[in-house]
Amino acid sequence: MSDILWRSAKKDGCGPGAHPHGQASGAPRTERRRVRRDTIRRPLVCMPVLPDGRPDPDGHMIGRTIDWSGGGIRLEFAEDEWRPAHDLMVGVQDPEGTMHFAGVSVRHKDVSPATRIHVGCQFGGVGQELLQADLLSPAFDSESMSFLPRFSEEVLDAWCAAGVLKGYLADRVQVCPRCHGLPSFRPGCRQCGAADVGNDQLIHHYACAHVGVVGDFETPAGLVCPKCRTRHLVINSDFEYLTGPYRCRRCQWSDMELEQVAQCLRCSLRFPAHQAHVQDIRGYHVERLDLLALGEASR
Amino acid sequence: MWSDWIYWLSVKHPDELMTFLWALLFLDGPRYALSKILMCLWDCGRGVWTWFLGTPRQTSYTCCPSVCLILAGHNEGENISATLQSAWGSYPRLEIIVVDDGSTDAMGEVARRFARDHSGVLVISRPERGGKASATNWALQHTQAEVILVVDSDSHLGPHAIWEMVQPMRDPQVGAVAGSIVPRNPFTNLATWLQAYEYLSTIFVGRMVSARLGILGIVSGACGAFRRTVLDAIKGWDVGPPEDLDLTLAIRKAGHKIAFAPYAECITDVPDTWGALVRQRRRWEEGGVIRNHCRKHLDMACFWSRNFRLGDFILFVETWFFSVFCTYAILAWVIWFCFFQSSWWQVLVTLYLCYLVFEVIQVLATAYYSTNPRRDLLVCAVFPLVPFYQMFQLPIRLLATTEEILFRKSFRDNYVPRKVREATWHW
Repeated sequence: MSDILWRSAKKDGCGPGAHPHGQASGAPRTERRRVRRDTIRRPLVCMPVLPDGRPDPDGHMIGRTIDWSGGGIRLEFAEDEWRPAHDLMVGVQDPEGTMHFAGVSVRHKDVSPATRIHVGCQFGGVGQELLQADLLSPAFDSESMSFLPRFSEEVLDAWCAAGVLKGYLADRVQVCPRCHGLPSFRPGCRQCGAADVGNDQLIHHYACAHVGVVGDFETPAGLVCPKCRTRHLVINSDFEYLTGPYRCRRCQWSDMELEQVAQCLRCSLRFPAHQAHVQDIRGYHVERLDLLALGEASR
Repeated sequence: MWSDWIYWLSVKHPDELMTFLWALLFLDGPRYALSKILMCLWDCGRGVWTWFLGTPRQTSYTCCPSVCLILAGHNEGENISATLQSAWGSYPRLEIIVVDDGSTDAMGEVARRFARDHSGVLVISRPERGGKASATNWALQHTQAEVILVVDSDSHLGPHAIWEMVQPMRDPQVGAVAGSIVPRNPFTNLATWLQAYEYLSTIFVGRMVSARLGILGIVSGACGAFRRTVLDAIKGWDVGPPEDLDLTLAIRKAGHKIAFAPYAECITDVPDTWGALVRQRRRWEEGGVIRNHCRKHLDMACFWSRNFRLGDFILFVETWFFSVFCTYAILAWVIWFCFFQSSWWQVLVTLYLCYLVFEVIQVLATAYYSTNPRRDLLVCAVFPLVPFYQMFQLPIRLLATTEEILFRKSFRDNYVPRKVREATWHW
């Protein structure tokens, strides 16, 4: 749409570099912009982004937006407000008072006659990279078998302190106490943690009320009650089968309940589930700058 | 009337009085009154001596073995929750196993719901009822605890009951500990009031005496603690009824002592109608002495037996004499009295007043040992009616004993499932 308008403007003789909506100032500067620009006048707050991604705590600037296009935005600052920086985090306030943020790279700077600094910025740079949704959400790393932040948590926390990002508890997971990798959980032997457990089968001998494991009854001559020595026991007439406690086939430990056993998927450490460490998985949320919506809201 | 009686008494020669007082003075007197007087005097004197020496009284519990509480029941869905609530958390090293023995009500579901919310509770179920003995033996396979505590599913434990039950286990020779049974409904009517008094005198105080003398012969199935190693040695419970008496004798036969924890209270409902009371006592008497003391465990009284011990012999002689011989002797005396005694009402008044003296001694002994004197003395207020209550039970005991001797009636008791009744031996 903006290309059609631009070609129309050229045909009308606006000349090369002429602004489709007319020149914003009377300065004799050659217009380089070739895309449609929309005027938007909103207050903004600006923070320089340091090379390591952190906000510059002393570089807080307050200004106003001038206009914007699909690729960039022009900002206006008072001369004494402006601090030179390459990457900025721009927060624009909407009519409801909510701040919306975007990362920009400074392209050029002009000084207007009214001692105002006009800064032309392009969306992108370290600040914009920081606001990518996939960088703010926790991600599972299959190599380390753990949830890792895509960006340094210190940097993200610094932006939380600056009011750009909002942290939230995305999840709470149990991790290996040794390497903090994710474990798998399963019921297992309370003694050795083995998974090879099964129930003992018991025999209830009616005549003497004895209940014992099947193995105690088995003899070469057939089933014999170890308590009363009755021989040739017949199912349902002399005895019935009952379910016994769990028995580990590896260490022969017998217990009435199984224990939840965890095994780390990274370092293979096997441990009782209650010894797992609890790790909070944090995500970050940002109100991203949507200039189209902001423009609609501002009308 | 009283003047007639006093005159009649005054003209009687002592030899003539002895014809109907000798049993009371030489048998019931020592058994029910003298023994309790001596025990109270002994404990009172020991207390004074301890105070005199300045020996500090031990007030804390020192024995804390691991305990497994087994609650085996059939269709106890209404009661099992209260029982679990009374026990859970009352002892540090406690695990609970609920055995749903073929219930058709919600007993298993109620127990499982409790187990989900409380750790250390296991519920095991079987579709067909197999009887309390096998249910308890089945639960034994699921635990490694050092002490097994068995409580009825419709009873609940008093405070510190488990602590009280395990303290006698300090003595390694003790194989089982009996608890004290306390009625939950003592004042519902006269029947429950009399039963409450009976429990106080025969269980609370009576078993204290028996345990001191080493002749305690019963650990109630409603509340009993057993050493695990002893149970393993004798291979657990046998088919009843009564499986509690049978187990106690088996433990004694194996050479272990039976202790009593008088302050380990197990609270239960007693029959609240005369009919239910008659049925209960008939079942107790049927499977009691004849089946166990006279048949199954008779070898314990045989001095040539390998398991012979003097304490067991005294226990058996005492049981045979008072539970069997005296039952028929009293019947014979009643017949003689009806036909040959002329001054019947004077004799009855004399006997009644003598029994009242014994009951007063029982009440005083109860008051001395009670930890809730207000409740217990109120229960004891019914003591003037107790001689009539004991006479009421005499025909029940007579009928039950005779049925067991002639017909082995206990083996047809529905308390034990039919498939088990038909398979077990008829001693």
